[in-house]
Amino acid sequence: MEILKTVNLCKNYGSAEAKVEALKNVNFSVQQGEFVAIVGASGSGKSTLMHLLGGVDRPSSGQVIIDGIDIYARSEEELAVFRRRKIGFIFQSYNLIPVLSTEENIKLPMLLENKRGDDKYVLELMGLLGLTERRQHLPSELSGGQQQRTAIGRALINKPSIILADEPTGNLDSKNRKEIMDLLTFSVKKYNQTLIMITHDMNIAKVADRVVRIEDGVLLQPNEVSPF
Amino acid sequence: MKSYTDLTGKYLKGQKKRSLLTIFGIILSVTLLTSIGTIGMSYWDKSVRQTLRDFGDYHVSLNGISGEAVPKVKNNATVKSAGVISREGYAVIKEANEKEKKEDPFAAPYRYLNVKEYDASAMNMLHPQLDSGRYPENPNEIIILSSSLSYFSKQPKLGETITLNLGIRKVASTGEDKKINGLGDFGWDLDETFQAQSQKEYTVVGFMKPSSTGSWSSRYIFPAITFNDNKSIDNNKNYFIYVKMKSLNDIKKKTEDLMSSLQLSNVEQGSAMQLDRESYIENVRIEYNNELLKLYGKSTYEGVNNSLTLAFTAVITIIMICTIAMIYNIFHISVLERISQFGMLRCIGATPAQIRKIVLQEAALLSLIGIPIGILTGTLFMKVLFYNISLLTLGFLNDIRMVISAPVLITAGLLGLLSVFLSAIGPAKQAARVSPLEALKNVGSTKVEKITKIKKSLLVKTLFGIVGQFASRNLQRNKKRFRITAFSMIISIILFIVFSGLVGFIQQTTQISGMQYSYSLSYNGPSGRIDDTVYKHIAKLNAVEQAYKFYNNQVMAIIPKDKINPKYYEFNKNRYVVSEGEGYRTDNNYLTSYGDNGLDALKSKLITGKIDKEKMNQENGVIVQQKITMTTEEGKQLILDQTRFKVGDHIKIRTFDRGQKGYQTVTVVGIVDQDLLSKEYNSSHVVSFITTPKVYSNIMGSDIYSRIFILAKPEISNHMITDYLKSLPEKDAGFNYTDKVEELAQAKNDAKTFSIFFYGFIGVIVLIAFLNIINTVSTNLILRTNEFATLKAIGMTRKEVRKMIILEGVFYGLFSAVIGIILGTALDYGIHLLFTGALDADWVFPWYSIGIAFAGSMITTILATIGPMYRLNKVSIADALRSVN
Ligand SMILES: Nc1ncnc2c1ncn2[C@@H]1O[C@H](COP(=O)(O)OP(=O)(O)OP(=O)(O)O)[C@@H](O)[C@H]1O
Ligand SMILES: [Mg+2]
Repeated sequence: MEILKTVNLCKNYGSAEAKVEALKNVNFSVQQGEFVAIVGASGSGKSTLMHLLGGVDRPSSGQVIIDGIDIYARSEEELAVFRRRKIGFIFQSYNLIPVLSTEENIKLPMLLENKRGDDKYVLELMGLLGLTERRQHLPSELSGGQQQRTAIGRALINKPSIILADEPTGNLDSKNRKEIMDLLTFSVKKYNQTLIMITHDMNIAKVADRVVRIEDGVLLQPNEVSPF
Repeated sequence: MKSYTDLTGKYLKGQKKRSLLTIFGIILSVTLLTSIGTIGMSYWDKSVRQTLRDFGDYHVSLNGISGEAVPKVKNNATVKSAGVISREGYAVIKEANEKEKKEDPFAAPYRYLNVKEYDASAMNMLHPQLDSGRYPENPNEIIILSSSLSYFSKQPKLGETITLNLGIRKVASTGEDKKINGLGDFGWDLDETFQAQSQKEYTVVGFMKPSSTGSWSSRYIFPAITFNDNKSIDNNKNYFIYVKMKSLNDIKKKTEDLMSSLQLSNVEQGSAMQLDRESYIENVRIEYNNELLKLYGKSTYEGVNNSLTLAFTAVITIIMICTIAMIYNIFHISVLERISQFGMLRCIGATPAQIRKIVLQEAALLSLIGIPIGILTGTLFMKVLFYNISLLTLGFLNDIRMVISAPVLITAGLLGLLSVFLSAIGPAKQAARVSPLEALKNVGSTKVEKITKIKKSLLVKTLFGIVGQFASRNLQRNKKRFRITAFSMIISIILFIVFSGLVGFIQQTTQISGMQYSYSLSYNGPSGRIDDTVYKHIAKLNAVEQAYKFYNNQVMAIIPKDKINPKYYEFNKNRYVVSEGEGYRTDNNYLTSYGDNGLDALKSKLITGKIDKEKMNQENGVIVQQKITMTTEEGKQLILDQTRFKVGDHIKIRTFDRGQKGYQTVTVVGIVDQDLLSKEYNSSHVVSFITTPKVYSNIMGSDIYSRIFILAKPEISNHMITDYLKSLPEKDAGFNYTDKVEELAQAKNDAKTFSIFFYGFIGVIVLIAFLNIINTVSTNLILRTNEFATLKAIGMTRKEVRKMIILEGVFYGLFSAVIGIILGTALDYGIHLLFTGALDADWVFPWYSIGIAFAGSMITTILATIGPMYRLNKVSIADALRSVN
């Protein structure tokens, strides 16, 4: 089942001479439960694509369709609600909320839903992430790996159908990197989630169901990609 | 770039907005300091000139000094100069004839000139104001008060000669000299004769202006001044010596030493009154010109000096604190934002001292720009203000001249510099403490600031939900930054409350102008009553805003012992001596009515109680005015209640007229502090009961009124009123009227000038505070751009983010308002206590300023939040996220 698709997606920055075409006519589709790795040189437009897929930016033209809904046709408010239900974001530099504890950071999207939440699931997730001991700590008191695991917890808490990760392991050592990847793939399998991940790490890309490559804002289809 | 210190300039340019804001803050503050200094200097200058004119240019006067002692005083080592005055005697200029005595049995039998001899110094020190002519230069020349002219049978002209029979006043029945206490004498005796002793011819060389404060007694004795170098001293005569000391320090002790060197000790000491000496009962032996000494901070009353110095220091301190709070904030934030940059600098080898220097140099550079501009704008601002004042012709600032004083400007500049330095030193030290590690750490927002432990509040959570809880935590995230922002708000609130209090204090101490009305019509004819047709005619006139019938009569009242204010009792025991019933019988009470419309107008002045005319008529309801202002012998002003009547109390009152009704009971239905037509407290020791005409006639047994107060509409020509008022005395000589239109206009001008000052200063202070708050709050928000983007990315709606940010502002406002109001009120009370040396009044809880401060702080924070909030919401989430990635 196709969960996500882009139609002639374009993103330009600036205007006239200073115009940067960060994405050019990207047509791209992802099946539910698929793990797609996006690779490409620095500045090629990976993050731009990711932001557009997650509904945090606005395309210059084109559409992003998730679950059959053209997300940019929706209002800002609807988009926000949509994000917290359907999408889990993981950023390279964690972006935790500094005033909330580990547990609270993880629960935040759930709290935003104003629902009591499934405390059992929170505990389970924290256990899975190895954060049970750290639940009362503020982000500033955590190591990089712990912070990223917290960010992952936050991305997973609402059991989103799509997880978007922008170099989630970029700042971590190889041991942490492997742990994080295991976590992600475990969750994805268990809940049949879709994972789209930007990475520079070929080892990670290899695990993916599919690798797409971006060069200068142009998405190269898999058959155009030279096999690793 | 030649040196690392060039970084300073680059940083400042890089943060153009912030640098401009800092400069603006410095300018505002120096402007304020310059203005206050200039106003202070100008007002002081005006006060000195006015005091010199009204009280004379001397420090202390020694009265009734024997002739032989005069040279000793003049030659005393501590004395700089001395003016000598002696009395030449009285001269009759008019004797009351039989007809006059018949018409007015209390008419003064004689009208006198009181001839005094001044030497040149005395003339300079007391410089009588002349209408025309010049000062006398030899013993044959004389100047007389112009208003005495009408009593001469043949009015002398300038340059003409008059012959005066000089002599002494005697009490006819005993043949004794009428006791002369000092330079002047008060009042007259019906039983008074005049005994001429010598005759002298004088050339009239000038006419003196009547004193502006001239009281009615001066119509019987008029001053006349002739010249005498007082070199040949008559040992049998008493002299009055006006002394200027070489130094004002310890003036009291020096004067006492001087007196004891003359074998005069334990003499009575006091404060000099205004120069119009004809109307004083007596002169004490030593009179300090305390009004003048006060202006040099050398009043012999210590309390007065301290209070004035404190008041001035308080204002300056307030401004400096305000400035420091603002500039500190700016520097603090700019350092916070550059933590990683300072870390970088440390990494590449900058020492802490070098980093401190960079920040301090920023401060110095900004001061260099801001301070001169501030001095300039302050001076300009004052020029504009003084121009405005000069348009307001009359008023308490009448005759003020702008004094631009170099010391004031320099001091303002230095105080500004000091404020900037004090503001920058903390952040500079903080920057110097940044560890090189900061640069290596992740630059993510998590690390820029130190997050402190956070308390959970169930209350906030239940009240405002998750978003509210969030907001409250964000406030706690960085205690230091929270404190700074709250601090600047708190300071502003304190400032506002204290400043309002100070203004109230100043208003209380400056007496304005008694009753404020446009016209007053009164009737003294045989009937003693104004006919209602007159009132109706006046009330109907177009130009009449209000006309009040004025029923007024003295009544006896029994004041229960427990209703006397014990504090007042200490000052005026002899008022409560005649016991009657359960209290004391007192005479100094008035039963008053301003008519029914007067009661309506009085509603706005009501402190407690309620005005319901029907009910008042039923139960003899009265409104009590019991607050007065008085000056103690120590020169301290008191504002206090004579009695402590409360709504619901019953008081027995009766008319003086024995034939009329006896005691009747009235019920207190309300309290006012000021009379209907007055904007100040009563200065005569009177308890007034204000009521309806019906109750008035119930108690007085008469419904006669003999006075009408008229308030005219300012925008309509008053000639209809004046024409009618003029026509009345022509028909019936019992009528006369007073025109206070000018005075009323002047009082309004005074109020206007005062408002210019008050709102001008409050305005600038509030502006500084406002900028500061906007700056801090918006920086707080903008620093967290990335965080808000994250929140949105994970699904917080724009509305929720907005709600969170606004709630944060509201919490800031609430917190600061509560703390600020508590501290401000406490400080206001403290200042009130400090001032008790000069003015002792009941402290009034500053409800009004508190209300404004509360509303103001909420509005300010919300406004300060809304601007950056919209800017934040405009930034695309992707951009904000990228700024960190
Ligand atoms: N706000 C912006 N204004 C102008 N150009 C921008 C803006 N944001 C991104 N770009 C440009 O768009 C292009 C794509 O940027 P993007 O962040 O998507 O790259 P990326 O593939 O994620 O790179 P990296 O691997 O380094 O993160 C780059 O050339 C970048 O310079
Ligand atoms: Mg990127």
